[in-house]
Amino acid sequence: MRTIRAALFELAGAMRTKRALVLILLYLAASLLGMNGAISALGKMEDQLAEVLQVERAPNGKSGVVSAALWKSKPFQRLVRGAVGDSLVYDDIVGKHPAELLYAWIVFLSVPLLSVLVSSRRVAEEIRSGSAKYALLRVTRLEFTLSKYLGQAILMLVGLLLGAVGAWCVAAFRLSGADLPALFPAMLVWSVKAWFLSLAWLGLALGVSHFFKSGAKADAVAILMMIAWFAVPAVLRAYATGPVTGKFRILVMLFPSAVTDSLWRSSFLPVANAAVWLLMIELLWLSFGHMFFARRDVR
Amino acid sequence: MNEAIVSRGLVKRYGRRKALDGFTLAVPMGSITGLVGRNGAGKTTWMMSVAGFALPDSGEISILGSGPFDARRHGGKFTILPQDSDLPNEGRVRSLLLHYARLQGLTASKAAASADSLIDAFNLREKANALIRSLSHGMRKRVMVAQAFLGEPEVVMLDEPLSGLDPVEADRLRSFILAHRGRTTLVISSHQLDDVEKLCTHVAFVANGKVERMETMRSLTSGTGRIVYALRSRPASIAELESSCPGVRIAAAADGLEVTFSGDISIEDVNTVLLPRLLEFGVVSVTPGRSLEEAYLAQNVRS
Repeated sequence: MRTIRAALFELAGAMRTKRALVLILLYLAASLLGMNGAISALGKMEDQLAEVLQVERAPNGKSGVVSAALWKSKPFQRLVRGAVGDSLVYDDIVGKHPAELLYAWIVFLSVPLLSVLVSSRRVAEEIRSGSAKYALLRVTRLEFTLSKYLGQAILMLVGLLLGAVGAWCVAAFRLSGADLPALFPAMLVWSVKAWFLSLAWLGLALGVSHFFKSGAKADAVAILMMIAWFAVPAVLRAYATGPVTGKFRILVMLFPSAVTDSLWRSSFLPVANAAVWLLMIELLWLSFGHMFFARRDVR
Repeated sequence: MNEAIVSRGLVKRYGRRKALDGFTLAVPMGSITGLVGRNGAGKTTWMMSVAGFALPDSGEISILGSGPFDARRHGGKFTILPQDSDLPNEGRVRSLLLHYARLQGLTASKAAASADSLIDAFNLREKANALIRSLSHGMRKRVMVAQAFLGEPEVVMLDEPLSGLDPVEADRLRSFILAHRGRTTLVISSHQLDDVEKLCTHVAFVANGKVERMETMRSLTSGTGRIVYALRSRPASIAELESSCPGVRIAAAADGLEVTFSGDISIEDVNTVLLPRLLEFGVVSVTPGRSLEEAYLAQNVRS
């Protein structure tokens, strides 16, 4: 109960802290602008396609009609299958409205950075300022860690759901030929999937935050780790072969980016597997942070 | 259980430096114990160790007879005003106090009653809904002290509680502390020895990471063979005065005379002999015993 109470206070504190609020607003703006920009690009592409294929554009000039028809083209399907790489993922996304996929792409791309920036300095700053002491007189260090995590997780969920609502509004305004009532729950589902992804990145960033007494250092280390775990597997995939990649794959699995592909699936089992794995990654990183925090001085 | 806090042989190292070097202290239940010592003596480190913020390398701590600090056992019973620790800047005074009170396990109504009574006690009513970051240093300090008294804890440690307070608020806090005498066990660390002397029933001199001396304030300050007479003018012959009262030593002090004598001579006997002789020099005040500051400095010079 104390953990929940402290988590709600953390959530309120995070909302009142300008940094978290600004980041969430930036995320909302980015998702709206990204959605809007992507739909504009889609519209231009459709115009050119309509011209080349000699088909008619939607009478109201809105985007989406040609793209919806394009999904039905076998050569286009082969092209997308090649771009996606994973045939299972392709099978699950084929036929989905471009707006839905654009939203998913935007949200999966922005969630790691957003999660890390929102949470990486929360604990470090409280240790530096000494405000953690007032809480630690009343809750255990484990409750303190969990309350920080829960508060940030709720904040991310609220941000992601608001992002879905905003992006749907943009899609409703700019798209034609889309089943808008069906698009809204689909976008919410992508937001929830992205939330699971964010939980793991929050675990990593908050875990790192427990090691430091300076918010800037915690930020820097969490961002460096994030960049490394996007870059290193890509480099290894490109250059390394054999047992090196095999061993490294185990290490890669400790980072949230390892299971992002599974979140693109539609069927329950792979998504559930990915969600469980992400929760385990989150617990692992949070536990590292907590184990250090439980044995450190809070001065 | 006669002790609120017991620490035995506490050692805390920072690198090669020992901040605590066998710190042993028993704080009597219901007392107000003052910790006095130079900067870096180990007072704050000891308080941080008792509160569980600093983890000692060795030694034992027991709070209220139930082991070292654990928020599950001691939350709400033991609190501290930590030194140099900001409150969450984005919190509001009343909601922050309410939050801490609820975390301690108080019901909503008891938490509200406790927070409101402390807001009034520390003259914060007008700022009850203000953001912490909008408060002056002194007001923040009052909120920090207030949080330490939420829910009537049994043991409260205050690290430099009066620093940063204006004279009126400092006086209000002194009265508040004195009103808790006997009800709450208080430990106060302060360099303001006048305040420690006025507020505390016991005093511990801390140096080099350990307690060098622990006594009741009464035995330390008034149980000594010493009287200071403040005079308008000083007698020409101190030796003549000294010979009139066998067993005493008289020395010139800043505004008069300092008379010291052994324990078998009473203060009353000395006054009976010396006061009539001093009247012609204009006796401004007679101060028996010695102040805490004098006792501390005497101890410090010796060590």
